[in-house]
Amino acid sequence: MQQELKSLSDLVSGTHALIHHFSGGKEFNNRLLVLGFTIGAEVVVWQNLGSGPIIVAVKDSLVALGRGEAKKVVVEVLNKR
Amino acid sequence: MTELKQNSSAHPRNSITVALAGQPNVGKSTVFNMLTGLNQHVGNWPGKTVEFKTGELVLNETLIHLVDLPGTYSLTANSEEERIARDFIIREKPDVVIAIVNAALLERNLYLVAELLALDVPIVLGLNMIDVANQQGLHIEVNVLEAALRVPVVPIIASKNQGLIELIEAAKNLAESQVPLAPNRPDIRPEHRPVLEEIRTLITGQVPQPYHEDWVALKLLEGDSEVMEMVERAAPKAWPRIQTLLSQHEDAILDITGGRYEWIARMVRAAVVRPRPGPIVLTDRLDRIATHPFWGLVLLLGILGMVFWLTYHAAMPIVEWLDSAIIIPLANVVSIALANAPLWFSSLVVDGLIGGVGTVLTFLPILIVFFTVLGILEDTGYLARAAYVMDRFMHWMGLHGRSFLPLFLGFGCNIPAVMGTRIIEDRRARLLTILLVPLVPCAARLAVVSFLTPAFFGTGAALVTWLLVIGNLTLLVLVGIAINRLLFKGAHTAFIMEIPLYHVPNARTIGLYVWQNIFAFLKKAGVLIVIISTIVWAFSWLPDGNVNNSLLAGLGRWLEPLGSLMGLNDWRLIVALLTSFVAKENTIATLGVLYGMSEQSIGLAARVGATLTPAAGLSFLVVQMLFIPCVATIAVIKQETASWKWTAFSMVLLLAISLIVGVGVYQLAALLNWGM
Ligand SMILES: Nc1nc2c(ncn2[C@@H]2O[C@H](COP(=O)(O)OP(=O)(O)OP(=O)(O)O)[C@@H](O)[C@H]2O)c(=O)[nH]1
Ligand SMILES: [Mg+2]
Repeated sequence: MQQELKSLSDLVSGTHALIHHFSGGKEFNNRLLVLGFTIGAEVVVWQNLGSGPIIVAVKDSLVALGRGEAKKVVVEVLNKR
Repeated sequence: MTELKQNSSAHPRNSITVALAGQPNVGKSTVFNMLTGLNQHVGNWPGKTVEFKTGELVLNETLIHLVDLPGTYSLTANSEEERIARDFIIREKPDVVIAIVNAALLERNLYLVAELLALDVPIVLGLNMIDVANQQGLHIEVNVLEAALRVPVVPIIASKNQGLIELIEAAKNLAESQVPLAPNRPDIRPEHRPVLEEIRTLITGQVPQPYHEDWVALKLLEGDSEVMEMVERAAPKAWPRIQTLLSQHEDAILDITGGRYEWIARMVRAAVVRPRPGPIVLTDRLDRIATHPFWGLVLLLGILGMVFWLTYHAAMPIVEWLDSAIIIPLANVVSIALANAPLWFSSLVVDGLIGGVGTVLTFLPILIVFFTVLGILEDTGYLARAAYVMDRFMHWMGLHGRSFLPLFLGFGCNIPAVMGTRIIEDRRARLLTILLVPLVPCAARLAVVSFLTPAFFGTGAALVTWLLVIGNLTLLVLVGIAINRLLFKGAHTAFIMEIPLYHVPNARTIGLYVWQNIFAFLKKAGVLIVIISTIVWAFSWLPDGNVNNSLLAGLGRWLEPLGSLMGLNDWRLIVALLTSFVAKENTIATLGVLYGMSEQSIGLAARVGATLTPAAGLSFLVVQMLFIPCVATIAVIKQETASWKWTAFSMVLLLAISLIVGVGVYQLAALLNWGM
């Protein structure tokens, strides 16, 4: 399977993806990890309207991320709904 | 038979401390309120409880000190309220920690439990929101979970008071049992074990009480900045070596958190029966509108508009009726009854107490409407959506969506709003939010404005009030942008916020919320407003009993030149604004005192309205909405900023804004020749 790496902020609503790595600071990574954004965890983009914050589903919960924050989350795209 | 009492009058034989810990929004405060009969803030959004609070109950002759802690996702100190919860558990060493988890969000919620287990405190797991889990088709085998974790697990539905006695009993039994616990604990992955061991050796014997060396070593490896500072101070010799090790293993945190989640997955695998993973339909459908950048905003403004519509169509008729059918006849009856008493005494009772406190009490229906709507918005889970929609606008001020949550609380009262800023991790963003809170009109200010607006604007009242609020919020954004640009140089912090599932609002929760706020209002009216009304009355009586020669009139006239710039040519209005500094309701209390109660036939608002042109009325309302925050809010601003400088800045800022805008509005109206 070919691996496609993208920023979480670039995925359209409904995309499934696996967390690959973060490009933010230590504290930022820490806060996301704790919420279940661990390396390899599956996330679903719940809402991404192209600008403003996005909503992501992870471990059965919904988490809002600012666009700047979502840019720093690099994921491996799985499929589209 | 288990006996539960909510106070300690029953001479208990021994006492234990039990702390309620858990991630945000799992129902800790609901459990606390049910068990202690107290009234902690409950609502469906993360981050309501920001301080710990203790209550007591007696269970079979044991006095239990129950502590409600702020919600924390982990035990890493990222924000003020996380520090509070962590310090309590480590330093106060409760006999038992009840970890509350949301059964519908089990894996995520168990993350905190995985961390608590590393602290070596006895734990009982309260598996809450069983009803929500069932609605989603989730079924949890309690026995299986208990066997896997090796800690007691008690299923509960806190909002329906189900299973809580069993929960607290399990905690008590655990506290009293002699058998040492052997819970299952997550282990660190093999590749980081050697470095953990080395750090552990380096800090041996140097960790200050009451911290455990194992835990400190682990937190160092996780990169916890507070623990790092502590060790740097406590073990300066070993520190350079530790620092080198940590920088070589900066990615250890990825492994540690990943490892904990893997451990959790193993714990729940056999215990959770789920139909199939699928989106939550109700949440999904409602969120097409609620979180939409345009429709979400329309919805938010619409809700605000609806509040005022309800105020004027449901509450104001009752307020007016109370004022003209109860307060005025009461004043007349009392003044007749006191006809033979000294004149000053009858004036004190009629003008001072009935005019001041009595009029303020007619606010009750307005406040009930406000607090009911606020309670419903909070309890459904809508508030977090509003914060999400507002994120874009908050960015203009260098803030983000999270700051919206405490600001919104400001509509109820500015005091919890200032306290609520503790959920903002970044110090600078938190300070800016605190400075902006007073620009959110609190219920007391809104009630004053709602009371007076119909007298100035008749049927346009709801629209004018709505516009006044929008005006306040627009100013809030402008001031926020200015402060951010000029003083904070436009920094920006990360927006990460959990969005809860929608809940059907709980009547009991909302009832308690309304009652708690109304009770606080009655208490304020009963003490503070009685005192201020009496003082205002006294200064309006002295020296000779003629209000126009009184000391207060002197003060008001001295300020009249300023007032006349705003069209306020009546010193009584200026004094009314000044007294709002003590409590916002005093504006009406003071007007009640100064506009005289006896021998009246129309309500107070109408009497005030008759003396003002619409333009002057508008500027009065604007100043009332923007004036310096009340003393209690200022005290909390001082407490939370820990700085007199910023507290003074806040007061000067608001004084300047209110006067500039008040004068501006009146002069603009004069220029346009509107409402003169
Ligand atoms: N359906 C359902 N709702 C519940 C239950 N327990 C609590 N709630 C609701 O869940 C929401 C959160 O409850 P709180 O008690 O405020 O949660 P908390 O853990 O104290 O939250 P923070 O102080 O923000 O950390 C509220 O809207 C409660 O009414 C339950 O068993 N079932
Ligand atoms: Mg709480």
